[in-house]
Amino acid sequence: MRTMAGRLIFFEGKKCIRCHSCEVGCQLENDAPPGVRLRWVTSHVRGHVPALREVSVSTACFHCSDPSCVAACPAGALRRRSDGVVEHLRSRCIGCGYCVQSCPFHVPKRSPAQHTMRKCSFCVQRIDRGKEPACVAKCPTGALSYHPDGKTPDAQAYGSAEGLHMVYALQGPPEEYRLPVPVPRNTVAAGQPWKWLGGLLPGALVLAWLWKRLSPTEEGDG
Amino acid sequence: MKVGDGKKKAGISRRGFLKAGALGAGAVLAPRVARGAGRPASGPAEGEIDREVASCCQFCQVRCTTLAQVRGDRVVNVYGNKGNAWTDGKMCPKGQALVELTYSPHRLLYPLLRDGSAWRRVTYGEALDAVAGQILKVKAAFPEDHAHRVVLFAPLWESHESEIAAQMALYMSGFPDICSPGDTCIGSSATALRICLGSPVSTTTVDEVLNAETLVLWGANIAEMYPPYVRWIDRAREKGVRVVYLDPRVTATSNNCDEQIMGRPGTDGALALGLARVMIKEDLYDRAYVARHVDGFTELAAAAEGYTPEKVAGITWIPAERVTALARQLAASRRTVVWLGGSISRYTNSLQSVRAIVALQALTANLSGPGKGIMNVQGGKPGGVEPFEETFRPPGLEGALSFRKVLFAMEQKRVKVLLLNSSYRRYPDARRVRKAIGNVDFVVYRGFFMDDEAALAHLIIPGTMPFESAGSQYGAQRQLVWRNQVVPARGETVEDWRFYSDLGRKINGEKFPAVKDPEDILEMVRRKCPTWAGFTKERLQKAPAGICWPCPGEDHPGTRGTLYPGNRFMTTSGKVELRSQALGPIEWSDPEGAPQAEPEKSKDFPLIFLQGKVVQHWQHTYTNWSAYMSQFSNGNYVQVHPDTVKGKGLKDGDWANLETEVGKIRVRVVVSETILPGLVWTPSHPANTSPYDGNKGESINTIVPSSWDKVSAQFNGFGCRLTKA
Repeated sequence: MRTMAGRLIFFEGKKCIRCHSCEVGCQLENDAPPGVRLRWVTSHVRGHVPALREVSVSTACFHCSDPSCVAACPAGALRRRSDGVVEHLRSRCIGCGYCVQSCPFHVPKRSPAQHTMRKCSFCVQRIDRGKEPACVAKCPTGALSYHPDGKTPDAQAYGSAEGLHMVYALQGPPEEYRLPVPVPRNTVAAGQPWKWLGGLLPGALVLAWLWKRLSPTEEGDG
Repeated sequence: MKVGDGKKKAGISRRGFLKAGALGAGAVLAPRVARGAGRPASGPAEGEIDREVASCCQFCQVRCTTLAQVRGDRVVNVYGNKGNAWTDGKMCPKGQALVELTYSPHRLLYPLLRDGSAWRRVTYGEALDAVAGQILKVKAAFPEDHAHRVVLFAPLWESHESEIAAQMALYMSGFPDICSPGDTCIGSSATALRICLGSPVSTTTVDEVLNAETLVLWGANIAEMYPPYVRWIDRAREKGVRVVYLDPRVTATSNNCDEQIMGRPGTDGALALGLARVMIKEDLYDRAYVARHVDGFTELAAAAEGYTPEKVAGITWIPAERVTALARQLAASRRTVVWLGGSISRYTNSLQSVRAIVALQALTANLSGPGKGIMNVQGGKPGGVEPFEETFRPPGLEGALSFRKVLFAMEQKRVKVLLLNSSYRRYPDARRVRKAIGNVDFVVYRGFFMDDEAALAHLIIPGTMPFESAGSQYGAQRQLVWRNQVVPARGETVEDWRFYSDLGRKINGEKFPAVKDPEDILEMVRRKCPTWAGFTKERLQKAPAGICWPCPGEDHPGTRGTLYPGNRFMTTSGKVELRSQALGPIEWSDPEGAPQAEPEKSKDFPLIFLQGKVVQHWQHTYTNWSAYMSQFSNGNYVQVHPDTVKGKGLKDGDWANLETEVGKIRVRVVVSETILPGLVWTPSHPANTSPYDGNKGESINTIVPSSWDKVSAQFNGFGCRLTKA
């Protein structure tokens, strides 16, 4: 039974001007030093004159409906909230990097300077106060928008059907943006097993426990 | 895990409570105290926010108003002010860099006096005495001939009050030479607008694009320069406004237009005359309007006569049929706004080009009224302050010298004191300027970091960062906004208005008005200038979008939209004056040094040089000291079309030398079809002294030859070459 669709960040490619304001806004809000990017904008040129365009995508954690990082984390530093946010608890993170290996989108990154992994946590400190995430607040053109009701403005958007909480309306095929196709849905199998094997057991325990606790509100989220 | 369990349950109710609280508090603006003990213990951000204070970004003239988040006496973050209808509470990365810059470990915090090859820390009082002493010495040594021996390099970007304070200090002390930033900015387009229409500012505000039928972005790369205004273009397109974009490069703005026309840089005037010719020949212009409101139509028609579509095609590289089609399209559009980019003002033919575009808008009656007008980038400085200037400008004071004369005077060792309030690297042939400054006896630098300017200084009196000072600032919509002081100034840094008021009083004694805060200066201006009468600090503080000039009374809402209601222009005749002695006959010629203009020279320098800003950087100064901004910078590089490097042994990623007749720099080659063949584009921000790799690079103006029109310098359009390094 779907009790909560989950929050959503929608990226509209044709509005992005690759100014990187979302990245900086995210870093300032989330105590990420220069070089540690929890969100990143990439651009490439597509087509030829006169239809030639520079197109961009602003990427962060996809907040999977069945996140492999949560399963892989041996420290209980990652959890999926009932609103779909995959939250990273920095105080618990031991920086082991198992999540880095497990993520099919290559989102979590180790921050040696901070001795932990870093990834987008949907600005829970802001959204829990009724505000939009920092990246959305800082986007000058409205390319990023926040939908707390979980209603996607574009059902065709990348990740929309798969229940990701960060969905993308792009100007070209997702492969061109180096996004995995098909969209990973349940992703535990990704990564290199021997590297995250050590985390599997505690991870599985966490998952099992979470599953048990949260399944009434989580089911059918995707 | 058990802890997590408990937290989750508590978290939900706490979140619900907080959400309600935040909604209630959200209606109240700064300063407010929010965020208490209820913060989720596991959130990624560190610590609490004590208060939010209304401020504004000091960089470009979008003039984003902001809310600075403060913890203790430290700014920790900044968000756009949602009460600002011009920006919708958005902002670009530059403004965010101010948080980091305020607390930069590289920042200069105390006055420093040069002591041989070292620096000696002095107090602000000692520094002030030293400057005043030097200036008084000049006055004593040259009792009859001191006027041009003390010079100030503007801008005083810190606040409008600082600008006024510096003018008061210098003029009252008998020194007219304040080198205007317009000389290296949009001086030419502002001057052309002033001569033709009566006021140097944009003739309308950006909200009017929604009422237009056609919006012409004439070289205006809004996405890169004015990011928050992209929303206005989007909204206009949603309403069916057709957006035509003229730019030789495909940029982020290309995604926001219906049609892009890519032509040769510096040929805007020829295009405008060509368009005018089609309208006149095909009788597509508004005869009645021209007869009533335009002075100089005969001269325009005569000048345009030679610019046939074929000739224009040869000059501009835009096909003849496209020129004709554009002319017909503009003539058929009932309401057209032309938005001028900054670059149009940076050629030696800028005055001519802008006049020709004014003429074009005049032919179609598009200068006044809803959905009509000409907008200028960085063109929002309110006028009407002359009545106040008269109160402190001594009647016998000589006129200011042009920058080129000041440069010559420095080379002749006639300038004794230079108040370097800004960068010298903004001038073309910057090495020559640097050398000339080396001849000045006493250079005072009002900077923030140990940069190229600091290296030339005898005394550094560091300035405050925007969060540390108050004052009014103007924006592109002719709006005045008030900036509150958010936190105390660090170290012994001082605001420009304070330094120049203190200096003025040291030199002139009681004659110089006592100024205790910027509001005193705003009040002085407001009481003398009728069009400023409504600008009280109190009103400005309550207006997150600012109030638009002219504002002739305290109950006046300010003037949005057209500046010339009923087509009453502010010229002597009240008409659009295309005929002008200052501008000379209506004509067009190639930019100085353009390869197409000088076939001889073009053998050595066949490519067209273009420079431009990138969205993360404010000119070539402050933002180079931001590590966050350096994440997106790539030092000196050039963007070139594959055809441009064909046969040169250069490919994407190679190092090359970019050479002009005055110098060369090492650049990385980026090959891309996003630029026309034959052009070389390079970012203008890098600085040698930046501590961060991405921002580090040779100052681009060291290789820009010094060419000027009557008002401002040329930065683009001349010849250059690219060779393998």
